[in-house]
Amino acid sequence: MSLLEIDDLRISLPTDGAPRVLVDGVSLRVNEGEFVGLAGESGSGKTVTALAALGFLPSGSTATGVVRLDGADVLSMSPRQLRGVRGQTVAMVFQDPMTSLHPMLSIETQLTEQLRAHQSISKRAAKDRAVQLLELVRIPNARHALTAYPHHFSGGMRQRIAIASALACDPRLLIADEITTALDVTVQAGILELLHQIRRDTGMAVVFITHDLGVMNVTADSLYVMYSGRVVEHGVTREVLAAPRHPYTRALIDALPDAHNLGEPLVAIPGDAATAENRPSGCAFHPRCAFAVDACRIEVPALRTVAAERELACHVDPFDPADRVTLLVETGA
Amino acid sequence: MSSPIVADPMLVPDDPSATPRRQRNRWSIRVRVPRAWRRPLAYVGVAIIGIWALVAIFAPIIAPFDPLAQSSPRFLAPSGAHLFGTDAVGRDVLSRVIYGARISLPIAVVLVALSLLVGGTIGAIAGYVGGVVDSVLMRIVDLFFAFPSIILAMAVSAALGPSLLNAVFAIVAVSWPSYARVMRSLVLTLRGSNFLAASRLLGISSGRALWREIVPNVAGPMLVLSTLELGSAVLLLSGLSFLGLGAIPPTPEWGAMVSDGARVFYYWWIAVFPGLAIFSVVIAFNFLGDVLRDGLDPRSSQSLATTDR
Amino acid sequence: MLWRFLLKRIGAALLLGIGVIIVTFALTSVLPGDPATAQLGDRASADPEIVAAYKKAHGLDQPLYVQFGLYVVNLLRGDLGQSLQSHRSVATDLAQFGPASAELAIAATLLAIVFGIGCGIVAALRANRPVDQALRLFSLGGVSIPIFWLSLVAMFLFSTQLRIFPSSGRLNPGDTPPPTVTGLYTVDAVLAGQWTTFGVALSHLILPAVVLSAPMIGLLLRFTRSSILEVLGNDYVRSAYAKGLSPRTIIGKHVLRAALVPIITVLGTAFASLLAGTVLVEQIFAWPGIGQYAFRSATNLDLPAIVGVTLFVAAVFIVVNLIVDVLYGFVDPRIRTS
Repeated sequence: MSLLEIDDLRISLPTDGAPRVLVDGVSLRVNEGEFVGLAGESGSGKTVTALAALGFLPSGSTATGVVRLDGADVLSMSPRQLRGVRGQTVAMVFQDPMTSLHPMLSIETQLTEQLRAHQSISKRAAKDRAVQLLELVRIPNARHALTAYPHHFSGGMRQRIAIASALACDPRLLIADEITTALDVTVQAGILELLHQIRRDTGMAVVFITHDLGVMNVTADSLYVMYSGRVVEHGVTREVLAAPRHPYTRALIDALPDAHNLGEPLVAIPGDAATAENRPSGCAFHPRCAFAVDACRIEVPALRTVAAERELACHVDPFDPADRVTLLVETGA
Repeated sequence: MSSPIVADPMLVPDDPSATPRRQRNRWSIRVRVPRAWRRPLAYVGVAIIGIWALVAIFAPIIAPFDPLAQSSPRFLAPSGAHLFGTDAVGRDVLSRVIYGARISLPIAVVLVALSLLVGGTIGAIAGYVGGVVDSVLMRIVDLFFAFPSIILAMAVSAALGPSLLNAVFAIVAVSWPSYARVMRSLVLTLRGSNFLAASRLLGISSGRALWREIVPNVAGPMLVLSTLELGSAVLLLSGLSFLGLGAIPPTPEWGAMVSDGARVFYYWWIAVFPGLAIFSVVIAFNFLGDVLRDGLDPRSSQSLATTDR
Repeated sequence: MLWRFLLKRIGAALLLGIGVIIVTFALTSVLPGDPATAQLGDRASADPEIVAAYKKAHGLDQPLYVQFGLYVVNLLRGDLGQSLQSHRSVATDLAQFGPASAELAIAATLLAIVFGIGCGIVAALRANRPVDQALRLFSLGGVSIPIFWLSLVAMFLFSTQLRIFPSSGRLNPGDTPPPTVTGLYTVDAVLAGQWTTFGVALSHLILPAVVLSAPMIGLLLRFTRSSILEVLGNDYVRSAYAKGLSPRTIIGKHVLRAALVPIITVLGTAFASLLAGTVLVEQIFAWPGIGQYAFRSATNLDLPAIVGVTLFVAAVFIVVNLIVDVLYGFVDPRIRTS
């Protein structure tokens, strides 16, 4: 049984007209200790999906489907049950470290309050644990740092503190929502490395959300690529990055600046990302896809298994390795 | 197996009238909804003020009796002939309330306009010029805030003699600081904005920049402030008149009428109806000001969203 | 760090105080009327010798800056001059009337804090539901209602018709006040163990205090509500939910703490504008406080009294602002370091 199992999750917001679908039938699976990447542009629904794992839904929305955490459906839990799960079984680190920590509470408070809420632990023991956590995330002068406030720290350090806070109760699953996006590139690497190390040490599973495939480390176990509320490709990270089969994934990778080809113009994906308000019919990517055929406009491609450990939602599958002729076709600008 | 779930009620509720701030902190997803439809209070406010404006304009036609002359026995309770009864001198209270609109409404507008002029100018200068001028002007504003305005108003009125004109003077003298502060902070924000720098780079003189760039941008918030201040102006004016420092008898000013009624407490209608008039006008201005504030802020159209069910 | 912050604030307050003194003095020398003739009365003023002697005795023939110096010296000695009406020193008058107003103001403020902030929190948490709509309407009513009219209505309803509360004064006629400790009859009665007196004082206090608090409650309710809603949208609140903390902890600790700064600001301004309401309420309820004293002084052009009241109220205002600033420092650690 997986640690996190999302099954056909559909989240929509009512509007004056047709409901706005934010997440359209997403299924995803995270096993114990796995590092799962969830990649996509803003508007792809990746954050909303991940938030659902903690039982957070956009205000006013309706959700169908199952989000099973350690066997229990999060979406049908009572608020009290949810409180037991959040912070303890699954924890989250948010994107902007400048705003996700409370500006007026001391670091000690922010690290120990969930400990003391979930476990019966003495103040001193909680404090010791807080020091331990700060050392784990490599905050210097940990004991002194407890008395400080978030504004005393830089963005990168605040993010580390946020990670420490998430780890306080030893969660089995950590959801990292674009935790490096708001940070300098030089700081990003440090945070990523830290995350991997913690995972190695504690066996915690991680769902790593990002819009930048460049930070997706090949040591990640599996990768889900989302577009416009749907999963378009899923597989072993290393394989997907090396040989993407969905045109969108391919385009995302092509768009990454390549240090080996300096001076080459950057490749951009033509058109604008599909938003929930104006999702194209059929395959949401078809207006921007070089390989689109009529079927792509009419019918939403289902996510099907196309190889061992590879799922793909595409009618055309232009990069099928079994079809060598297509590989010779240039994708164009 | 699966059931449609409505969202967690503990999530952030959307709020149409919260003072909107940094949008980057908002995380729940919003949907736009036609703005005007969701604020019935605005209509009520406009309606009330509209009615009073009409009453003020058509007072001679609407009022059943002469507000200054005795028309019936004193202290008549409200009845068919005298809907609001008669007062201590035998004058029809309804007519006096109607004519009172001719005093309170225009004077309130004058009060706000003058305070806006004085305060806005001082605040704009302070914000635009900055430096020593700014510090000095703002210290003066602080001083005015520290001074008990009511005492100043009372003293000025008393020294100059009770009259509506002096009351206006006294009220403007204590009201302009609020405008100055708001104007100054608006100008400061604008001064640091990019589009102002851009127009300066284009060679537009600062005087013209002041008019064409700043004025349109401060107009909105100042309008909101003015509408809200209209309510305070009415309250201040009627308060001073109540104390005998504003309108002098037999002027049918609402505050003075309440004061008359206070003396003959048992005949409740003499004080109640003018007071209700004041209340209705002030609350109408506040309704309006509230909605204007939510409507004029460019970001608030995003926050006028669907709400948590 | 905190000390430096406090010192800066106290310094600013003192500067403001000095400014007020200077301005007040300037105003008194500018106001129409000769202080000598005003103090001496008609017959004495007709005699130029007496007037000259008086002026010499009070240093009124000296240049302005010397007069100012004398003024400040007297001020520091607590001598605010003599009231023209009561013929006692203004300082004595203030000491007598001050505590009465203080009792009213404090009672009103406490009510405002409890109901204004409390209902504001409720309104925020039930935003846009019927409870919230009702509370918002109520708060708009509170800030819109003319306080002199509300006093009369309240008095009519509760004193005259229903006879629940007395309508004037601080105690029943003929009652002796409790031994003075603070000057606040309710507090002093409790301290002296005089429970009946406490009851009487309280019953006299309730109506004017409730009326006086109405605009403040309205104001606080709105600001608390909007401040809390503003905070609720912030990321760190979401982080708190994600940690699985109880709603009570989140609202009580995380949200309230962050929402407090604008609320404290409003509380400070509301307290300052309390004086205007006090003048009116004290008139109507015959409450012997500073408000009534100020009104009498203003209408009688009792200059020393006017000046005394002005300085007193300004001083209170400055102190309140200082307290507000200090409270900021306690609540928001970022302010301490800036």
